[in-house]
Amino acid sequence: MDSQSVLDRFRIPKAPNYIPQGREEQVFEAAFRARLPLIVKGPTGCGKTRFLEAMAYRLDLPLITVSCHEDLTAADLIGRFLLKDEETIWQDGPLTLAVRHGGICYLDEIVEARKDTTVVIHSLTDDRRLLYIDKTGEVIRAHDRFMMVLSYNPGYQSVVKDLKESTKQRFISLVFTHPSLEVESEILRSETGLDRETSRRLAELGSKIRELKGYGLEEGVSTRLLVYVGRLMHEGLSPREACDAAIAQTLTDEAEVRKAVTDLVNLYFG
Amino acid sequence: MPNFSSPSSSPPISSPSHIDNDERDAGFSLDLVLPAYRPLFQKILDALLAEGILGSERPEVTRQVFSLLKRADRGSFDHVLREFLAALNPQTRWLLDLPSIFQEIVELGGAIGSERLPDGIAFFRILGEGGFGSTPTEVSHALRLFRHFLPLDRPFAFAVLRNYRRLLTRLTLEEVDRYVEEGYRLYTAHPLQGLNFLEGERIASETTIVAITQECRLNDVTIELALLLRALVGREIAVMDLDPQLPNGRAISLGRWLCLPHAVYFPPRIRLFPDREKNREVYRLLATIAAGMLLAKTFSYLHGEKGYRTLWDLVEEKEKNLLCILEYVRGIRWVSRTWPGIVRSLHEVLNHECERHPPTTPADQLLHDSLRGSPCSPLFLAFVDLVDHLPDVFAARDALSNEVIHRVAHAYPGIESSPFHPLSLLPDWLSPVELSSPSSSWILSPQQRRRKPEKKQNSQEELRSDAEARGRMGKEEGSLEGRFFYDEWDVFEKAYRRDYCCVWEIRGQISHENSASLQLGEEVRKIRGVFERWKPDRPSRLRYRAEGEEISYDRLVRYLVHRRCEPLPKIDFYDSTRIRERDLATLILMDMSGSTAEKRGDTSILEMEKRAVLLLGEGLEAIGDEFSIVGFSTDGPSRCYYRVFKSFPDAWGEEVKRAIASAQPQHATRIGAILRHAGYRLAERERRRKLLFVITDGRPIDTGYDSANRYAHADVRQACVENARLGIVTIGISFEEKSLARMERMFPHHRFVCLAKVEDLAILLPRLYLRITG
Repeated sequence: MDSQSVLDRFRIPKAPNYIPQGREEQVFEAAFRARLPLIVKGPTGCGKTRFLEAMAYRLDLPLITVSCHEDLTAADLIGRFLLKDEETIWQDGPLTLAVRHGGICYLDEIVEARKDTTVVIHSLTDDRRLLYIDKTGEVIRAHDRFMMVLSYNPGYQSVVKDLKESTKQRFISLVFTHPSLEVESEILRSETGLDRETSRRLAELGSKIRELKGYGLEEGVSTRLLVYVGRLMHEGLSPREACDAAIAQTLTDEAEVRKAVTDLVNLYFG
Repeated sequence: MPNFSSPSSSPPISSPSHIDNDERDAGFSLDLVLPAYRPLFQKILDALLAEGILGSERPEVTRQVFSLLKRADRGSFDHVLREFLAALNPQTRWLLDLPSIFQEIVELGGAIGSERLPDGIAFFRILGEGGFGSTPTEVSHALRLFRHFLPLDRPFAFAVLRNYRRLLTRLTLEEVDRYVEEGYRLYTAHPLQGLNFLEGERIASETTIVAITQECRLNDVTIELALLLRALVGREIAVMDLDPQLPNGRAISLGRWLCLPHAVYFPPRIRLFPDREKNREVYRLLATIAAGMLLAKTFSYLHGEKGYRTLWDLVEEKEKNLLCILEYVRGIRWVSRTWPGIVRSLHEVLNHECERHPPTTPADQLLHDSLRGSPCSPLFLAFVDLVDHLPDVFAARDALSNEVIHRVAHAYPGIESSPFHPLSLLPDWLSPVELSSPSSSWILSPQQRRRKPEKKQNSQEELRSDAEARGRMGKEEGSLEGRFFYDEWDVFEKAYRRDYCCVWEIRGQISHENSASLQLGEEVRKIRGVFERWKPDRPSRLRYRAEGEEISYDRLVRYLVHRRCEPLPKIDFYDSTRIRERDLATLILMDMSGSTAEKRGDTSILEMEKRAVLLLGEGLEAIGDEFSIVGFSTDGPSRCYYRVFKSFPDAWGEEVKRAIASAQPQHATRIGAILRHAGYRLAERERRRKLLFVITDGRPIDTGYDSANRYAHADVRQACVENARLGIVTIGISFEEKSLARMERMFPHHRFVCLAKVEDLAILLPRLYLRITG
């Protein structure tokens, strides 16, 4: 399979259901036109990835997502030699693929990657927009329609995992938060098919659970989990069962905090 | 031949020949036992060996049995041993499958018997009768209870043990604790009554069992209620036990509860229903009502503020009842509307209350009718509609002049003057409450702190020479490891003062303090559990893999050669690097200055710091991070004391814990020099990441500092910057809530945390550590 057809597989086939929270779409488009790399920050499950899918679809770009982890190496991003028949052949990594042919290279949870890995993107994220592949000696000038996007969750921000300043200051930033009650109700309604009243109540429950952040919960409940609740309800589970499975049991293993979440669920769906 | 056989008086005990006798017998011989007991001992041991209860299948337990038997002395202790052997009957033999519990029993029984023979006999007799329970958890619990009461009162401890099995037939383990606790309370007042209570011979014992199995105690749900209130109200609301005697001396009946702007006072226990879970639900209902009352801005929102001691401060005499009813109805309807899940529980309790306390006056009747939604007359509907649209208590007061309210009052003649008895599920707004002003301690404390360095000047005079000081420290406070000179940043001169500070590195403190005095048992287990979950795998470089990011060319050549000889040789020419090590060194600096002697409740700040550091130490040990724990205090720039309780290479053990536990508050706080020295020590570690935690009150106060502390703040900040250049991240943790501004000045990049309550330090420090390093 040639690179172009591999790349086509990363295109978003249909318009994602994305409800804007502000002017993030305009900021993204401006950054793309100006060829500026972007960091999207926000708590888990607040819609960062969905937003990027929506933008990739809107701009007709392939979206190549790399979920970063501490074992991720530069070779995982750039590519490597593989043995084929009697010879070694070069296989482009996801970053090289996007740089060569155009597309959004989305490094999800970038702080999870080691710093020596992330420095490979430096030359791509300033005016040079170049990628040097030491193993092949190749220098690739980034495609006009290439865009680098990183994401991370400031809630997990840890001193030892923070981005290097030299990396951070190459990007513009978009900050996502949990959606407002109205927007979240609408998201839940459109994603799950719940009626307006139940969606609203679910969104209110979410906002109350988020008050427990720092009081036993590392993170407030994500919109994604609320959507899961809605889908389970749509599949016939009672609201309490759905909330228990998707929220209370997922968010914490501490009995007292789980009890508090269950109490809240009972107040709204008891 | 087993060496415990007595050739002269007893035939040898038959035992499987493959048992390693020397190891098993641990030096025991029947010759050690009273002649009269030898046949009995032999018979029991024979039976145990023949049945395989003892022997090679259970080497550890066998050793424990014989090591106790070895203490036979042909005298009184043999009576204990006889009881011990008799206790190894079919009813208790399952314990021999649990070496650790069995060992604890053997050791405890042996120790008690050595101290007092009848107690040893009684201990093993109870064991033999199955009095310790029938599951490992029950036995462990029995031993824990027994150990707890043994030093307090021996007869009581034995009474607990004797009655333990009987109590288990009625109560859970947790309930047994409560019952015994109540028994001990009685016992301390009247020993005989207490013992009778444990024996179940008093009426009170049955009443207590019923109460314990049915009631819900506030202590058991405090956290749950606090979290619920936090989530619903969106801010912290303290959950307090309603003391029958409030500070103003006015008694509040236990059936009532108070909801104030920042705290809710609940009754200490609820026994409304004969079911604990239902009573627990009542607590949840009360918490939800409290949240609703606050969010709906009913009188609870003001209660206790200046000028609002009771709801009746708002209105004239004749309007009191009406306003109270209006506010209760408004609050409860708001709760029902907002949280529909509570309605069922609300109505259940409401009906229960109405049955127990039927309305006796017009005022009571209106409240009952309004809350239970009857009668459905147009007037009543207009009334609740009006109530639903009132935004706060002041609007409710203004609405008293509304026509609808007048008509409602008219429908309940005498409502203005009739006595009013609010239901007990509603907060008490009629008891006078005055919220205190902010504690004056925060005004006084800076002055107290400023005085401390001056006081220490006397000590400085006493310590005229370094030699004297060195001698003093060597004798009383640990050994001097060395002195280190550091520059100090002078923000006014924009220059360093060269070698201005001398840091005295002292090795721990010599003390016999017991770290167990801080009582960390259960918390240690929890912390270790949490940290162990974060423990990473060992670092690894994975070679000769089927896939990876690097090709090993030697292996590749070999692979190609092999491929010419065999069709499908194994692909193993890739290398892969996996770094999973927590490559981290952490140094924890603990403020030991004089100000940490300040008490919060019954405990000094330093005690809380020690507790937090000990817990964190347990966690760090569990996770495997390299760490050092240091206390600091200073007495002017020339004597900055850096007390090493645990250096990086030291093992975490009892000695280190004792050293931490023995830390005493002294002198003042000069953080900069201490930070530099800590940075120097950290820089020596060959770790990729280096963290320096400073636990302090955020007030560097020492000789030579200006009154606004700009000098000190700037020096600390500069020290942090210097450490950063060495790759060290410095993080400040302040236990003074009001130290935000100072911490911001001292610790760059917002790398600090101000705790709302120092009491939270022990919980938050390990959590913070994992969050930062996770």
